[in-house]
Amino acid sequence: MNPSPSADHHPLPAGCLSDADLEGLVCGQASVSVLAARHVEECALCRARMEGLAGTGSLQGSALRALEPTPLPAPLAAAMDALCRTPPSSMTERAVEGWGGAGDVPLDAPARPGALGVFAGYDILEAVASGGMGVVFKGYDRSLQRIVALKVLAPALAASSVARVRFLREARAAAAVNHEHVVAIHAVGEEKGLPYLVMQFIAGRSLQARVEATGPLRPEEVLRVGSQAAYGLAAAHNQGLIHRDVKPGNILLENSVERVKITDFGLARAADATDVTRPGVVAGTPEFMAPEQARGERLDHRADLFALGTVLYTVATGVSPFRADSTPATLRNVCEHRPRPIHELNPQQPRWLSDILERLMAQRPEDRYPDARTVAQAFEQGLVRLQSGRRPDPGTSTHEGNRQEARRVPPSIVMVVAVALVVLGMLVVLWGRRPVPARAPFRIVRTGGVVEDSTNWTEALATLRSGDILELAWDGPRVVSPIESTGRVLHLRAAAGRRPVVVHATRTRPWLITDASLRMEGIELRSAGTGPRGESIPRPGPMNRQAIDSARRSLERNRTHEPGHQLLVCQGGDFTLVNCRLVTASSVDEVEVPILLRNCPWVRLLNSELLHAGGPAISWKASNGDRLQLSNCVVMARSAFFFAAADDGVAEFELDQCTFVGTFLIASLSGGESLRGRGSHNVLSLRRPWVGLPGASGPGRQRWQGQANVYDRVGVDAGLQIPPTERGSLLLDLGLDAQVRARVGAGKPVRPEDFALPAMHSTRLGETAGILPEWVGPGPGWERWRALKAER
Amino acid sequence: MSPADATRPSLLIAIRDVGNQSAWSEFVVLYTPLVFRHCMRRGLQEADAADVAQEVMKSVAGSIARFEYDRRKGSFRSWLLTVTRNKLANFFTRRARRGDETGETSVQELVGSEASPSESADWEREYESRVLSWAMEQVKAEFQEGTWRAFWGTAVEERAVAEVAAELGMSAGAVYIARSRVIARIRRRVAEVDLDDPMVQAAFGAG
Repeated sequence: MNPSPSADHHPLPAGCLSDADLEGLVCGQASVSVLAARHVEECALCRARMEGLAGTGSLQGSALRALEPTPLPAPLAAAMDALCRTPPSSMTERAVEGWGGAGDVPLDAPARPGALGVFAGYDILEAVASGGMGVVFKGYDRSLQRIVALKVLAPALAASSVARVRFLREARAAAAVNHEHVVAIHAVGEEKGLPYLVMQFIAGRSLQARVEATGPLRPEEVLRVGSQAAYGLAAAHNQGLIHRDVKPGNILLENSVERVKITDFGLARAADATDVTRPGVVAGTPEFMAPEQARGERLDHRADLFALGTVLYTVATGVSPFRADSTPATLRNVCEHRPRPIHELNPQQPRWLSDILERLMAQRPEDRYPDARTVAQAFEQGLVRLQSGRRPDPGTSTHEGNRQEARRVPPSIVMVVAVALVVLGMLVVLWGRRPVPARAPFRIVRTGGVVEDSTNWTEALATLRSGDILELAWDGPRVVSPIESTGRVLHLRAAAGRRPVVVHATRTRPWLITDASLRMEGIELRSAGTGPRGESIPRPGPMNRQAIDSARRSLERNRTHEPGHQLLVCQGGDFTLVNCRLVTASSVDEVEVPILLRNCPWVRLLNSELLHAGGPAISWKASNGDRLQLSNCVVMARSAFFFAAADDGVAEFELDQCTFVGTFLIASLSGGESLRGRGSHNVLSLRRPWVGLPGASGPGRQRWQGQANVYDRVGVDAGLQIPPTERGSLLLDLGLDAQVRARVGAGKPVRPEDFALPAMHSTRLGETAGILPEWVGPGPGWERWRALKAER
Repeated sequence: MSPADATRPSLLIAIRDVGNQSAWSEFVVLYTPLVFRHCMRRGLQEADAADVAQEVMKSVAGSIARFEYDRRKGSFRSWLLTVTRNKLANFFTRRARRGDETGETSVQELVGSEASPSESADWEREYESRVLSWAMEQVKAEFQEGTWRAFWGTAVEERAVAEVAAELGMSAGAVYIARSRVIARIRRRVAEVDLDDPMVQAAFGAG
């Protein structure tokens, strides 16, 4: 209830109404006594208490005046009437979209009691599983009188002829494989336009279900499953067949004996038909995918070995080594992340098993085992030796040389070392579970793995060598003095479980300037003056002549690419930001560019955010062959990057799954013609995405290849400048009227009328189209955006 | 708050009981005009706006029955906006379609992904005002004519209490009390359908 003055324990004046009286007055139905009415009229205190109780203050005047009832328009009344007469239960089925269950597969009337129906002559007994690819039924083959499994391609996929042809082709190829560890395919066919295959029915559960039910496998189980699966893969590889989607769900364990049976050979290819693949969806299962597969490169049988390694890693530890919140992040992990050895996560697993899995999961296919048979043998040897209490054969491990030397060390020392290792192992396990509070804010991880703590920033920097990793081990903001580094590769990252925020307080120089490669991970960097929510970031004014001139002046000053008060300056070497956030407080009139890059051959910003109200977010001076890639980033700035070519060469940029908010994508005063770009699945919330600055040479729209981008909130004229090379993209205007004003692409010329705004909105043009402060910083808007991004 | 109010099941929970026709009707009457008005603001014709609103309500009904409303994804009102935006995007896509098929998925995904700040703010206002005006319509019949007019004259028209009292032949004190009664009742009615109420949210926490 609303607080009333009496709640403060002050005695009420005599004759005043009690709280109960007031509540009776306000909430009661009874008629009002003359006495009470008179008192309320005369006593301002009781009146205020009563109105506080009712909440009168918030509901008065204009808030209510807008609410005067108006008659419902006829179409609305009809729609409401129709809705009210339809029970919501009848709508639930219609709401189930896409592939949901057996209901989507047309079945003939059942021919025997208890069956769901008949499909392709088989009695359908029940739906066993369904997924993105299709549905699996348990069926009965009347002619051969046996239980079978029927896998029917999802109608959504079957609508694509490419997917249909691939499914049939891969299924027929897989039918040629006859091996005890591969699920046998009895028949392949097409019924009612839906391709299907008939398989041996395996009574049992998948490896995935097994791990979910009983937790990580014991070492001997990992070895047994690994060797059987590898033999199964070897049989398929011998037929020239690559599985492409080895995952715990595709490895079945037959009841009682738990014999391994691999299923779904090659079927991932059916979903790989480009005409049915949705944006951002990769055929196969990202978290078990080989790096070459994640990159869409040509792959051979060794991709299955990587996947098998990932599967075994997962079942041995209960942790999926590459899994992340989103598919792009998972794929990046696959390509970049080196998982911790399994014996660190699960001390039960022997170190040599870690080594086998590490070799299976080598980034380069040539560093893996040569074929599945060798893998199977390595697991078998391990199993034999595990059962006889001995070590595996040296040939199976890459680190065996060191260990052989260790054998020559006297046993007592081995014992001490062993105990120390066990203790260390436990520490590592504990560490992995919960970050130990560190006293030292800086930590250097040397190339050899030695960790040194430091409380002194300058000292830590002085001892830092190329290849060392400097970890920042604190949470929240901390003023850190600038770094100037020459001739060494810098690698800075947040310590495990930490979210350090580096505050750059020296406005006259960059926070970090280096002439060699730089990599930063998980660090937030902000210039002094930005609050925790970035409050001081000014909202850019309308995009008028004055603002353009101002931006242009700032760019011209920046054209020299001289280090000034930027945050990061990299002049040579590769530049990589992963999971970072840069926030600056500059305005249009200040020349502060968060990142200044010159002669960096390979620039990558992954899953990072640049929030910057001034000019361009990145100033990029490129040489011939230089590349810049932004993936899964948010850039809020006047322009995403400012480009200048150093010579006559060609530089390339690539943007995927990014959001750009501001005015331009690229600002270019010179050299725009030597820039080539590609981009897909970006949201370009930019007023004039495709121009440089007025009077400057544009970045050559013809050199842009865009696909499935969304151009949002663009100005009327800007639409005309979207290049004809754009494919399958959209021009939206969510800011003004949420209209899809035109679809750009499929080679169709874009006409001026496609971009006409409804007349009623024309007056709102010219309003702010830049950074909105409420978008910036960890406020509700930001959190919502992040949540949505993660889902996507 | 009277005992009857306290035990009244929340609307959102009630419509999950698919047999509860009256709860469903109440839900339709409350939210359809809101979605309709939002569509009109996006420039749709009345007939189109009514169609889209109908689609939105059907989709909401389906999702609620499948327990899909997840509080972690935000409040009910923002969820309703997302559904509305998706259906609007479908509508615009259909209208803009010129024969080829590519890109529809991305329209749905991307349009559905984020509302602009101004759109969200508009929606908040429309939402609040719809719930209030619905509550006013709902409770009006519970009051005697004089009580309602005392409320209307002083709270909505913001006329002086003495003036309204004289016009209605009531004492000023009675006018104060009448106004408080109506407002308190409106607020209770709003609270009953407040789908972002923590109790309601908790009911969906598992979904």
